[in-house]
Formats: sequence, C-alpha cells, structure tokens
Amino acid sequence: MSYLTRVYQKIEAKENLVAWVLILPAALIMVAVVGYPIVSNIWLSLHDVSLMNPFERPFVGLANYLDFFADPTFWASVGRTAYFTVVSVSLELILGIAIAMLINMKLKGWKFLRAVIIIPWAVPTVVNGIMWKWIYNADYGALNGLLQSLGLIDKYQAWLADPWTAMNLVILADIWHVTPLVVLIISAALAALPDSLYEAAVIDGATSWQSFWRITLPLLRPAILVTLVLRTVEAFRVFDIIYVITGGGPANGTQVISYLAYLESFSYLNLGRGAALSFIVSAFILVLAIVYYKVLYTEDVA
Amino acid sequence: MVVGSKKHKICRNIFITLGVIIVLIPPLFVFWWMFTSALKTPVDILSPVPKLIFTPTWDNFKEVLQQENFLRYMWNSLVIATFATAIALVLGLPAAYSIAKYRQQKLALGILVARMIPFVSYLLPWFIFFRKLNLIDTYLALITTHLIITLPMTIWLMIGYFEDVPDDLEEAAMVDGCSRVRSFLTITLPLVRNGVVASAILSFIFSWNQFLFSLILSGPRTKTVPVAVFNFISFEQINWGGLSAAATLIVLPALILTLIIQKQIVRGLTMGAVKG
Repeated sequence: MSYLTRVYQKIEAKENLVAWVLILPAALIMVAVVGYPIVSNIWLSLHDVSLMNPFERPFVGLANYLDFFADPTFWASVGRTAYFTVVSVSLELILGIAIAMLINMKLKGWKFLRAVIIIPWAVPTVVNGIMWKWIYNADYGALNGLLQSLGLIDKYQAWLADPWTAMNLVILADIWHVTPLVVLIISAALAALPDSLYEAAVIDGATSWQSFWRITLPLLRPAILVTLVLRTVEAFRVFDIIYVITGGGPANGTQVISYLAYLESFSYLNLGRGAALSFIVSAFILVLAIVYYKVLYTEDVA
Repeated sequence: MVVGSKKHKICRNIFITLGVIIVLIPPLFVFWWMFTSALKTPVDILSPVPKLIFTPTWDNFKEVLQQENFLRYMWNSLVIATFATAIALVLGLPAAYSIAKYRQQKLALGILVARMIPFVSYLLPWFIFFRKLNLIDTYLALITTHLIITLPMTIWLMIGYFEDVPDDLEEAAMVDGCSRVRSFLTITLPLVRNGVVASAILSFIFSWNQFLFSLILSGPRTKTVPVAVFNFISFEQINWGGLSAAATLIVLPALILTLIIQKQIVRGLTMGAVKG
C-alpha cells in the first residue's frame, strides 16, 4: 500500500468519526423521544393494558387489532377519515393553486395580499377551531346572521347538530386554516418557472387557459405532488380541530380514526386497544411516507 | 386575445379585482370577528344579529390578564417553546451538518418518518412513562414531547441549507490552517443563518401552538396557552369576550413570527423539496 493511500484512509477514518460524533447526540435523543414511544406502542398494542386494572397485562397477540377489523365502528371512522382527507386536501389544492396564480400576477400590492393570505395558517388550531365553532353557533353565530340577512334561511339553524353537515363544516374550517400553506408552496414554485416559456406560448397563439393546462400545470407537478403527500399525511392524522369543534359528534359523525384512538386511550383507558389503533394510523402514514420519499428522490424536484 | 383587447382587458381586470376581494374576505373576516369580539361587552357579543357598531372596551383583556392567570400560561408556553427550540438547534445543527456533508441519506429517512407518525402514537407511551415517574405537569415532560416535533423539523430544514454551502469554501479555510470546528463556526454557520432563523421560528411556532401533548401532559402548574384557551369553552357559560381576548393574545406572537419568515416557511414545511 502506498504512503498516500494510507494517508487518505486515515483521513477518511477520521472524517467518518467526525460524522458520527456530530450526529450522535441528536441520534440518541431521537431514539429516546421518538424511538422509545414507537417500540413501546407496539408492545402495548399486543397486550391487554387497561388503567382500570393496572396490575395485569396479559399478552393477547393480535387480538386488539382483530377486534377492530371486525368492528363496524372502526371501519366507519376509517371511512370518515378518508372522506375528510380526500375532500379537504383536494379542495385545498384547487383553491391553493387558484390563489397562487392570482398572487403570481404580481398586481399592485401583491406582497400585502400574500401577507394577509398567510394569516390563517399562523392561527393555532385550537383558536381556529373555537372561532369556527362560534361562527357556526346555533343562537348567535355569524353564519346564521349572515345567511339570514341575505335571506337564504328563515330561521337560525343548529349547524353542528347534523353529522353530515358537521363533518363538512369541520372540513371548511380546515380549508380556511391550511389553504394558505398550499398557496405559499405553489406560489414559490410558480415564481421559479421561467417567463420565456409563456412568451413563446403567447407568440404561438396559445390562450391563457391553454398555457395554464399545457405549461403551468405540468411544470408544477413536483410541487403539487409534495403538497399532496404532505397534506394527505396531516389530514389522515387530523385530531385537534375535530376535538375542538365537534368532539367527535354529533352521533359520532366526525369521529375520525385518530379521535377514536384518543378515546380508547384517554377516555375508556384501554391503552392496549388505543395503541393498536395508533399503530394502524401510523402504518398507513408510513406507507405514505415511503411514497413521499420515492417521489422526492426520483423526481427532479424544482 | 388580440381582437377587442380593450374590452377584454376591462373584463379581465374586473374578474381579477373580484378574485382578490373574494380571496381576502375569509382571512380578514375571521380576524375582524375575533378582534372586535375581544373589545365587545357580553351583551353586544350575544346579540343574535352581530353588531357592527359598538362601544369598545378593554375589560375582556383586563379580565383575562388579571383573573385568569393568563400571564402564567403565557410564561409556561414561552419557557417550553424556548427550550424545545434551543435544544433542537443545539442537537440538530451538528446532526444536519453531518448528514448533509457526509451524505447519510438513510438517517434523513428516519427523520422524515419521525415527522409523519401521528401524535397520538407518541402520546400514549409518554403518558404512561411520565405518569409512572410522577412527572405529569412538569416542564420536563412537555419539553421532551415537544422535541418530537422541533428536533426532526430543525434537522430536516437545516440539511437543505447545509447542502447549499459549497464544500470548497470550508476546504479552502482548512487548507489555510483553520480547524474544522473553526471553519464551521466562521464560514459555514454565517452562510446558513437564514436557515437557522427559519428553523428556530418554525420550531417555536409549532411548539407554541401544540395542543394535544399539552392537553394530556400538562396540569395546573404547566398549562400552556392553547389548553388555557380551550378551557374557556369547556365551561357551561362560555365567556366569549374573554375567550377572544385570550385568543388574540396567543395568535399575535405566532402571527408576527410567521410574517417575519414567510419566505422560509415553504422550504421548512416541504422539507426543502420546494424552495421559496
């Protein structure tokens, strides 16, 4: 082995050491704060753990999981979660793209426009939930006041009393809260598109509608994909806003899967069952995470 | 597009103006509703037809700050968010640097996974753990769980910023006799300061706004503002005026911080996939 090779190897070994020393503290903390609960959660899900009877924790295998798979309540909550996810994410995306296009026209005062639009995202979910709960209030909410003064309803409605309406109104609150984020992401991607393409399209006689469908949308594809997966993951684990606005009601109409997991754990105190449900949500989201990773590292993302 | 372009242009401008107005109404309306309610008397608030003209009063703010111990909750939130942010930066910066410079992409995947798992999954084991050790309602429990959010976010955001720093710069410094630590501190760190500010602010906002962990793991001593605000609506008789005042107080810091870093938010939340 030549002298030079040995020197290089020595440097490389030292570099590797540096790399690990830098990562170690963060890695240890990550294993502790993130790894421990994940492992513990799996262990819990395989046992019958209840705070009502804390001294016996019999191993039950997959019974907790199988119970849920045979339980219509579980499947109903999966359905609601899917409905919430699909409707909120697709509307947020459509609205987000439209608003981002508007901002990107760089009209007079567009920076002000962008600043105002981001406001809802900065509002903590709790406050967001409470504000909308109040707007929907049956006796003195703004929604009733507005619709009545426009003559659309003759008397005040109890909006959150009907399961179907309640779900859609929670989705509306979520859209209000999250669309700004989509706007920010898409408008950042739009700003990075080259103007020359559009100039060429205009010369070729393309209408704005055509250049939107043929140029803008295909070029936005990576940003849209990222937003889609990011938002799907978040929507699928939605909890806070439902907890605040409807508390899962009425008649379980807004009981999504994270909410069910919360109830099992902290209301019924069946920790084993709660852990099994959390794991099911995690498993689904992990599949999405893998898709996300593949998308990020195979697409040439702008 | 060219024929009748003047008429077309007017039409287009009307459409755009309408669009801008429609887009501006929802964010402004809810805020207007919140701020004005904070300044209304209970009688004005409960009027079935929302009142547009009313005599403003500071009573709600006074009540919240004096009677509801709200300053105490704000202090709790501030302490927890500051520690969760500072620890994330101290641990996360070197880790992100290492991942970016030595291309340890597999570790990055682990961090991504950590960010995606639902909070409920983390909460249950930590709840059992802290309950056993009698640590519910301590800063320790809350800061630990908030790290679940702030640490992966800081690392992920900073990887992108460190990757943008050309290797040559540091190498040149090291050839000139700088130690690695010194070249990191004097060359690299100043170059990524936007990223550091963005990670710090985003971590702070997420910790400040965190609800679920605080709901379960806090208690009378460590209650944070989101939980305190939520408690306003769990009473029989909801004090909407006080609630709006409290909501205004909790929203303002997050709002100001968001406006400061609005450009970096995109990068932070898409984890560098879309650069703002």
